[in-house]
Amino acid sequence: MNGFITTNRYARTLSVPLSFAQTELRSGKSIVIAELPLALHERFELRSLTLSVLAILTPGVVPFYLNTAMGLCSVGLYRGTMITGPLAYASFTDQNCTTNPFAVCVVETPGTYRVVISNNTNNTDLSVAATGSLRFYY
Amino acid sequence: MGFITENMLSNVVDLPIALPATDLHMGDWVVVATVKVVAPMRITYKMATLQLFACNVDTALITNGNKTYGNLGLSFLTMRRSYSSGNPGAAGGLDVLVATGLGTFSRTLTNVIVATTPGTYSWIIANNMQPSTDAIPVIPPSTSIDFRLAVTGSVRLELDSA
Repeated sequence: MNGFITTNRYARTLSVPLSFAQTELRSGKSIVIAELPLALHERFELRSLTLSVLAILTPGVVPFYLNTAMGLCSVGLYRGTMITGPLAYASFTDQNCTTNPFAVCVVETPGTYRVVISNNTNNTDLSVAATGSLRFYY
Repeated sequence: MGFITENMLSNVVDLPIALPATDLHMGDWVVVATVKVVAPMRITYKMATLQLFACNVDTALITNGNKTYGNLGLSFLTMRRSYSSGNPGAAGGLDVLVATGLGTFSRTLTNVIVATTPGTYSWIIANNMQPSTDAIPVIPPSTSIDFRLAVTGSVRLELDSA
């Protein structure tokens, strides 16, 4: 779509904030940052979701991963309530990791979507923050 | 000024800088938001508001001896590039919003920060208090000067600045 945007069209787009300031995330725990119900003929795009791991609060332990693929800690967009099969996610690779903003995640299927940050170890507490945004079209 | 197309709008992401009311203890700081910028992205930072709701001591009694950094008020929100650890009030911040008392403090919207240098940009809120260094402290050094505060702001990320 490369048409010009009218004021009416612009009024029907929203930027939905995904904000999670620095917080202690205990081992094995997850926190829902945002939840968004999507109805028929609505759409949203996820461009940017950044995860910051600011401190490891349990020094001196070898992290035991509950889910190896998801790394030490991750933030992702999920459909439904289970932390499996994220539609988009950023997993700890360095102190600040992000989804690829040039590969947009477009969602049109009606349902309830959640953005969840999770600690994927059973023995390491972390201090984490996350920042992102959804663009919602209706 | 040209028109905006759907593609252009899709390439613009407004990211939040948001912290709900939080108790911040003396000398502590919290990372509120982080944005990773790679070429050819651009971020534009205009708007932020810092609100101090409450303090556990009378703010009129706070002296310069209570401040970690004399020019950064009671509390401050700073924007830093490639922040990893350490007191965020140290030199090198790209922008700072200072709260000098209880109430609401906002950035001047015309003071626009535009950054294209790749890196990770962080917004950090800090409590600028420390135990008094005055010879005769007004507030006992054993008293922790804590604030309840909140931050609301936004930064615009453009994926293709060209």
